[in-house]
Amino acid sequence: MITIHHYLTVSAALFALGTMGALTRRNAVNVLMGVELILNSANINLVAFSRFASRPNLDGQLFAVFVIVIAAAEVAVALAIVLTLYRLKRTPNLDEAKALRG
Amino acid sequence: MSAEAVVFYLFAVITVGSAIVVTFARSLIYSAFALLFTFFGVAALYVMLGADFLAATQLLVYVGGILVLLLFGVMLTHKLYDLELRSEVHQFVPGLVASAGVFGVLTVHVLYKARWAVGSGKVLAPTTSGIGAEFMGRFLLPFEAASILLLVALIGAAMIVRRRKDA
Amino acid sequence: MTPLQKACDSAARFQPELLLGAALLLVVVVDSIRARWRDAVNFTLTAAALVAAGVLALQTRPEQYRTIWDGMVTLDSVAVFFKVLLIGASLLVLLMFRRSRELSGLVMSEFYALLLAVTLSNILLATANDIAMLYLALEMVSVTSYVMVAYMKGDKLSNEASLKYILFGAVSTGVMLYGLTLLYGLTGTTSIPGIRDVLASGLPDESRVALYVIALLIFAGFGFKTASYPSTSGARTCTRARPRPSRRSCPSLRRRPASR
Repeated sequence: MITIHHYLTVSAALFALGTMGALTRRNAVNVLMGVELILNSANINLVAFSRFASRPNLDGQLFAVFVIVIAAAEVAVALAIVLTLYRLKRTPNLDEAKALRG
Repeated sequence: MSAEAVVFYLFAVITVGSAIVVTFARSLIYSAFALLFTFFGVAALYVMLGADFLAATQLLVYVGGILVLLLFGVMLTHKLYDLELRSEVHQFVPGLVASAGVFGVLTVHVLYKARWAVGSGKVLAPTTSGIGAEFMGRFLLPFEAASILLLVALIGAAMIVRRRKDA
Repeated sequence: MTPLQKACDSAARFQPELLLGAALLLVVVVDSIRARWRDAVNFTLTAAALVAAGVLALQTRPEQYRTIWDGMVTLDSVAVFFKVLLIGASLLVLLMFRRSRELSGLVMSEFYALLLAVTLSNILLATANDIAMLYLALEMVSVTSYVMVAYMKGDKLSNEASLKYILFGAVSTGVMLYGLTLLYGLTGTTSIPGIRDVLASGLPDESRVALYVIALLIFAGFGFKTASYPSTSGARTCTRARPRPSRRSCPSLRRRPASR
């Protein structure tokens, strides 16, 4: 019998892995992949709570649609900035971007 | 074990396993393709939760849009003749401790103890017409606001990347 | 009332924001015309739209205070105050941009469009009544400010600052979103007054730790965006970016989303 706790555990694992990726990776594109994992984990939470809710509603799924839209817009802008940085510095590594410390 | 449980565990292993590859792989391309499998696994979980429209949207937007964008980003930021797509990791142990701690706290204290507002769950039915009705009803303003967000992202991304100084 | 009637009723009370949205679209259209007077026209258009939106916002009478768009946005005295404050701040930024030396060589029309968009998003954030609207408005503000901070793309320092800002911002709003989803699960509703009612009527003891963790996650996200302690580094990074007037769009203590 699959209860909501199964889905919540999967999304917690994705959340932990996503924050780990976002915090430790040096390449900007890898950090973005970590952010996508975090957003997916939140989406699984939303859909699971919507499915098992005490009064049937679709709020969670609609919120999840907006999260997907926002993720797409964010990745587009972030990659534009990464590409510009690469053009200026020839490296996407965040460690090379050390002119601003702190 | 019921068939539902078998299918759930299969897709859960695919999702979390691919996420582990995304986080820990040395090569960027491995991470990108593992992310593909993660998105597929998540879409399968949506189908199991009865969110059919959302699963299709996930595949279209995440796999078809975001993942393709990320692959472009990977490919355009490296010299093509020298396919050294290594990616390094720094401060590995503090990051591992922090995220393992987060996962531990979440599972032990939060997820299994809290009284979530759940009931028996609704009957699984196609959701597309319901989502459409909500978009035109309660969620009309977020729907329109999201279109402004997309306009700004479009203008912004194009403006940041173009080479000429004037329009 | 049918949904159409409800929508028309809400739109009638949403005039400042609709005006800002229409002005945004008009600025983008004018920007596509290749003429020398493009920047001047867009400047006057933006300034006129901001002033008109401020005047319209001030004309909200107290008996009109209610939640509009089916519970997504509130309209009360706090909302009017923040609307006027945010429009005033954007007017100041507009005037500062006009005199900025760093921006004198660049095309400004898109910047005016971004300024209108960020004003509209800030107003939606300040008046949001639902966590879906709250998150959407916060991301609208964030994405628009990522673009604004990256405007001077020739400058290495500015580019590096904008990259750091966007990566920090994306991670922190992701963490906040996870907290918001757990809050939705705990209370069963996405509307903020509904969450307040459920939390006020008391949660069982087992959910207490969950609530602390949720609060921690949400404040971690919000803290970066408003440069509250201990996440003040966001403001420091962002303010190194040029152009200097766009620092106003950086996280700062002045810009606080209205909380209930």
